[in-house]
Amino acid sequence: MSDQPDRHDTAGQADVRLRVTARERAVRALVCRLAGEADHETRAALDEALAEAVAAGPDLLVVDLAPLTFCDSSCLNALLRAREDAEAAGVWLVLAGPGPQIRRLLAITGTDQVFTVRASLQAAVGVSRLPHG
Amino acid sequence: MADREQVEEPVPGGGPAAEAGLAVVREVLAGLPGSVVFLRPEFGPSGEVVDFRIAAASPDAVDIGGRDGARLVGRSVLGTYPGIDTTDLWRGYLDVLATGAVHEGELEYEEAGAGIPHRSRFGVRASACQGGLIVSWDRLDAGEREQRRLALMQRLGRMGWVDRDLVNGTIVWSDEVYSIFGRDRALGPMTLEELSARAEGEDRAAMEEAVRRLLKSGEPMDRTFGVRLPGPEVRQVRVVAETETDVHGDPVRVHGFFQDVTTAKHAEQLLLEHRQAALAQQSLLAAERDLAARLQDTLLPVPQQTLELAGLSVDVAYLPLQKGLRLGGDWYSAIELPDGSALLVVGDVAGHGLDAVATMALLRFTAKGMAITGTPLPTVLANLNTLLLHTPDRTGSTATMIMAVYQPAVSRLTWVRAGHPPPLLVRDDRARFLPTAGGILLGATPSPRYEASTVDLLPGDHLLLYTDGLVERPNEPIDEGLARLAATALAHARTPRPLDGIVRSLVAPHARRDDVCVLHISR
Repeated sequence: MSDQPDRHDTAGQADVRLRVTARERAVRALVCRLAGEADHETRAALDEALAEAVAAGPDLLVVDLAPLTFCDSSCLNALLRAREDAEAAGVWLVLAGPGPQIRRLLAITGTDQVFTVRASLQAAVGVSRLPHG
Repeated sequence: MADREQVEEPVPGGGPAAEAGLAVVREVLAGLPGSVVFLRPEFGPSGEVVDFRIAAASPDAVDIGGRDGARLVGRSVLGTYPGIDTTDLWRGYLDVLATGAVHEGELEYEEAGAGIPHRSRFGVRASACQGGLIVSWDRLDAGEREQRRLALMQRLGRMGWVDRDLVNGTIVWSDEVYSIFGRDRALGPMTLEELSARAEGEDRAAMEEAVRRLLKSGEPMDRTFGVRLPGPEVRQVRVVAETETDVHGDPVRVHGFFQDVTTAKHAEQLLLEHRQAALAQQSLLAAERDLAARLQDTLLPVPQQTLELAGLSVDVAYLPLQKGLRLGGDWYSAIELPDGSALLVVGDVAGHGLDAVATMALLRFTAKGMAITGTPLPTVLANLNTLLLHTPDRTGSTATMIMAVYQPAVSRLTWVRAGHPPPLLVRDDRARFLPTAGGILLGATPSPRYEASTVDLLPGDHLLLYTDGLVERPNEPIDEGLARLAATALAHARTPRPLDGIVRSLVAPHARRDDVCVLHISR
């Protein structure tokens, strides 16, 4: 009996250089839908809702902005805050489907460089990047 | 109703005796007050009573139709009051005729004519006399209505009356008085002396004196006093009383009214407190306005004239959203630096109110300080960013700004931008937004990157630095507002004071949602 493995034997012997394992993992996504106008007056409510969503600890938090008709600096600040909270909690935050007004706001303020933005809810939920860790 | 009825002289079965009787009845009736009539029966073929005729009436008699005595005489009862033969009254009349008993009853009558009360109630009395009936009646419901009205008035006015006989000592209180004093009816009324003994505090002495004077010399009284009810409540009661005197001038009867004026007194008290509060508020507001004005002069003085800096003419428009505060999150700087260059800044802290003002002041003074000490512009922004991130603030302040330095020797404007709308350059009948290096707003992320941009200004150029309050409208993409600004700036470029025209065109006084700050720079 030889100790030397036969390299041409592919029936799962020792000296394996690459081990591939496949594991099923459910990605829990939470969609937070913002509809209407978000401004200074609605700031507190928005903060609270986003904080709750982050605290629920999903893998992926999608903020659906499609039904939002108005978003000013306080709304933007709420989203920035949520982004910080999400990062600290290991939650992946994605902004989905912003309308033209909000897209321009993100561009002018340069925040499109720090947010992950997807054109639609479907695209956002389809983000295939798995959480680290 | 047949008013043109035939008036006949009735002599159904009479003779001289009947006529003599009628004459006496007529004489007696003529001297009676109220409504009294003498009715004589009329008989049918089988001898039954089919009608009555009004043979005589007292002078003041008035029926439901308003017809008086003279017009009633000679009338047929059934003819004048159709349907009366179906009533209890008629049966009563027949009964009186047959048995000689006295009938007392009520009659409710409904008449269909216009101007006559639709439904009225009478008390009626009928007795036999000389082969006929003496009938008297009295309107019941008028009196009842009066009673109801009086009771209602007392209840609504929280008022009741008192009547006291000083000779035999009886006192009567109307129901409402018991209610005013919260007293059980079973306990009966109290005298004024007893009431004044129950008066609260300072009222007591004055009350007792007034009652004494009323009872001794009949001096009328009108006083309000506090009286403690069973329980903690003190009610304010007004008593108005006067006396009737005898031949010697000594009071023998007291008539008076009590009224619960507690709510009125409370309302008066409240009103007084409100007035005092309002006055205090007014002086507070005046002090606040004064402070706000001085604060503005210190933190962000707004020049009324055009500033001339480093070869540029600068006009400032500053319109905070909250007028009272005179300050907001927007700010500007336009100063000459030690090296002769001009510092031009426009900034916008998120939010309004005092918190935004505080952050604004921090940024404004820090930026100015760094510019004066020659810090490169991108570094200034990075430092301000760090400053904002480390300000302990629950809501997380952010701010946008454009910071520019103009060097007159080379006519060059260098600027940096943090999340702020781009500068607008108007040159030779063209208005365009200057391409700017990107840069995220301050306070959003720990490691932003800022880059300076430059443009050379030519004589005749106009440059606008502004905050988004000038271009943002609800439900409108910002690009539309920017386009509108470009068009407006172009339109006013050749006017003597372009900034005035631009602000007038774009800022709607009644539809504002944000602070507005604009720098208009021209070379």
